[in-house]
Amino acid sequence: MSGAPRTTGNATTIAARTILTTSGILLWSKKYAPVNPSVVNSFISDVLIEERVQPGTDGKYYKKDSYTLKWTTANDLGLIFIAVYQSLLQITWIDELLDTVKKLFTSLYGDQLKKPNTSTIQCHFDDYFASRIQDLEKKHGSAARPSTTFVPPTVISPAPSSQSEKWDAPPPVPGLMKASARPVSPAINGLTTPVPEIPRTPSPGMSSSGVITAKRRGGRRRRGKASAHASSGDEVSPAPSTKKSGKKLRKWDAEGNADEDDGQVLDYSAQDSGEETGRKLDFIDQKEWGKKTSKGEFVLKELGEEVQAILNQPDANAGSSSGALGFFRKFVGGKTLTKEDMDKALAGMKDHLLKKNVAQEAANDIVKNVESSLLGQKTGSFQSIDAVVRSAVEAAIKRILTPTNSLDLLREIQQKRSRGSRPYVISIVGVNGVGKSTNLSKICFFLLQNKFKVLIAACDTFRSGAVEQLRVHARNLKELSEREGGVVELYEKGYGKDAANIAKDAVDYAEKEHFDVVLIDTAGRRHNDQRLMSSLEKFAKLAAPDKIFMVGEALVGTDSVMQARNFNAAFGSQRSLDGFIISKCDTVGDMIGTLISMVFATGIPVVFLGVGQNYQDLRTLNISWAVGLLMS
Amino acid sequence: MANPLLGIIDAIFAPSPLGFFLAVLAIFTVPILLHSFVFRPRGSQTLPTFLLLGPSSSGKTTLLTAFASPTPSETRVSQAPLSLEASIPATLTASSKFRSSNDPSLRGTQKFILQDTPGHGKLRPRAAEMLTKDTRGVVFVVDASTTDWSDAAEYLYTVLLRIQKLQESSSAGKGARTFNVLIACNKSDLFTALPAQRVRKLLEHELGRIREAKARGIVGVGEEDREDEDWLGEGGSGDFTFESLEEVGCVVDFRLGSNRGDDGWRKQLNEWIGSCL
Repeated sequence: MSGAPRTTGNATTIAARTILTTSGILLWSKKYAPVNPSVVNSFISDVLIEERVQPGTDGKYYKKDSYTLKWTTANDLGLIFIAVYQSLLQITWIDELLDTVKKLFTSLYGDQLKKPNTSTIQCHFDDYFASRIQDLEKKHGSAARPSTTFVPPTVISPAPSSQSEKWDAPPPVPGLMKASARPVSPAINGLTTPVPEIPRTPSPGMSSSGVITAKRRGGRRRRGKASAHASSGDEVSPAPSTKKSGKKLRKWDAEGNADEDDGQVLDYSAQDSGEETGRKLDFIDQKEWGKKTSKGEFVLKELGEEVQAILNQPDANAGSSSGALGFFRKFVGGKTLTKEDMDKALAGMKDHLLKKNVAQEAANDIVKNVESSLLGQKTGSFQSIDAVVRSAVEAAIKRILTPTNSLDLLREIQQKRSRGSRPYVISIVGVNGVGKSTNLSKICFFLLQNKFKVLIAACDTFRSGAVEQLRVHARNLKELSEREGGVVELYEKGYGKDAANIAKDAVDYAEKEHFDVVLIDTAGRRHNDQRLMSSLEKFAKLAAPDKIFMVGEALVGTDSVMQARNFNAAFGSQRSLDGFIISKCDTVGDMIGTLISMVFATGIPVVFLGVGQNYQDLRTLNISWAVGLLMS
Repeated sequence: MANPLLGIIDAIFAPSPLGFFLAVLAIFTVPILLHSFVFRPRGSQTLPTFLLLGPSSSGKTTLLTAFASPTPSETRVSQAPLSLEASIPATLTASSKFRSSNDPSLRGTQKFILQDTPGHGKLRPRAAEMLTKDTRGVVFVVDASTTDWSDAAEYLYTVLLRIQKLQESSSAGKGARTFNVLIACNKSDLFTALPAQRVRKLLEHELGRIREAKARGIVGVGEEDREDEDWLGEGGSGDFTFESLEEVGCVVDFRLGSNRGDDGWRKQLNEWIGSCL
């Protein structure tokens, strides 16, 4: 279902391009430089599954290691198109490339992909892609982007040799081989020369093909764009070369006989040795000026025309559903969803979410994500658009609330205790008056029931009465747990001292006295007060808590998003929150939108819910319960 | 009186081109329409389904594609399930034991559907929902070379608990059919891969711990009044063993294999699937 075609164009321009299905099968990919699959894997997990947006990217691209990824999806076929390129480079035409490749690929192989119970398809997409990338490079390179790097023809030549090595290996599936790889590579090389990391071995025996491309480029330029500066635009220069060598290869593909011809070409490059180059070069030169050129041109055009035809035919079927049939389909189903169709249903869903106290920002984003995921999909038979949108929103909420890793506090504590003497440290943060101390004592009660030895550290040294409040809790808990066998103690150092230091001392004390768990209560602070928030970073460093939970009120509305974000960011770049405790859930009825807002803003799961005034009124999140309330 | 009637009869029997046309149309379209309405929902739905479950990057999708083509495809993280129709030689099926060696049905193939699911934590609940009482068996793929078994065990726990509940609800009605689970210990080509018996011990230990922790943990909101307690396996509070699941009608098998190499998982899975059919 999920296919992301990843094509790595050139080392320099595009590192890789991939087409994947949503079910994770790589349908087609072209790599111009080795790209670790983990780059794409983490992209899928982070962006497509967990829907996390990297700060500053606006959700339009994704950065990992030294690569930047751009993507587009074809929802109806479950395809993902990914382009990977070096972050250093600014490539303006990536979006256009993705769009056109998407169009090409879906129209060429859409039928194959729609067959049920199949996993892979045979695709010979390389040539189409090469032709497309050429066009774009030409277009943008010549017009928009004048010289950035000087690309002398000599530098280019080594690249093909490495490519030809690849070629020489007997291709297991010739049709799938990267026919276009070779033509493009010279361009890349020229561009990449400044980028050292691309493993390219300039072999002494330069392959003829390399020379050819270089030559051609020169010739081309002379002929085609006399005005263009030789050194102008890296992209300009590669384009012609690609075209040339591409023509040869491409021809067979268009005719479907790729295999044999490929083999021939392979042989050529394989046999080329240093001495031969000269002769070959001449040979080719002649050809270039002679009929070969014209023939080559013709072939190129053929493919180019096919590509253009596919690109121009667009949206023909989108319009067809208008009129009576379209109206009919609204009720019967089988309609391809467009933005206009969904607008009303989505607006309704958004209102519904807002009524459930979901923050405006979160509701907007959820609806937007649902829209983009539904766009282009077909409704089932006798399924109204409202129902489709509703179930999509429900699924989205479910996915947001489902944690990537489930938290099992008891197990983690046991594991930690079995490893060493340091106690398991949990600290609780939050805005004023949300119920930090109350929830802390609820957690404490739960731990005591499980016969742990718990130390409560009173690190709210700011608000008067805070320590006394905890002392009362500790006394109550002690009485309650005496029969159960739990031990609880309060660690306090009065008011006015530095909270971070007290926390550290408390942990040291607990380690000495063999406590299992340390629960640290902190002072409430406003999330947009820089002065108060900045002390959290030091606190996290000194106390080194195993878990930091933030308490948020179910009552809070739009502010929940900023609260969650600011607290999450307050612990420095190394540390983030581990979970939310949503308190006062019993006071809001079914308006539990805060849950969604907070999780959506940060991607951090809800671990506990406070549902009452008693020590045992602590619950874990039951997702179907939450979804049921939100969608009711 | 007779005139109108006669007129109608006359009209009916008259060789009018319109009447003729309509009759022909009705004769040809009605059966076709009837057929398409009545028979469409039937078909390949009855093929036995096997579900591929397991944590992310354990090799589920690659294993699936090994059934589609001789060389497994390259894969990335899955986001959506995928089903594939595959077949095994009929001689491998359990029922073939009772057939004569001359039985022509042994020369055919037995078809089944293999369903891949995403293993990412956020998508697991939906994957587990695909497990229904119609599922013939589950192949739970784990990475045998992993060092942290808690994630796989956590997932396996939910899967087994779901199977147990399905079995409990179905066995109340009719005779219990055993539910087959294969723990496919993948990536045996890696140096750090553990043998199947060791994986079994580790998973038993982890599952026992999870079972204990779940029983003592905090109740989910909205589940306070629930009577039945989730307790994987049969009764007692001793150590968890996979044998104890047989009492609830769930047979767990372990096999070690790899997607790399000559035959990959195909041969092993063929045997196992055959034994379930």
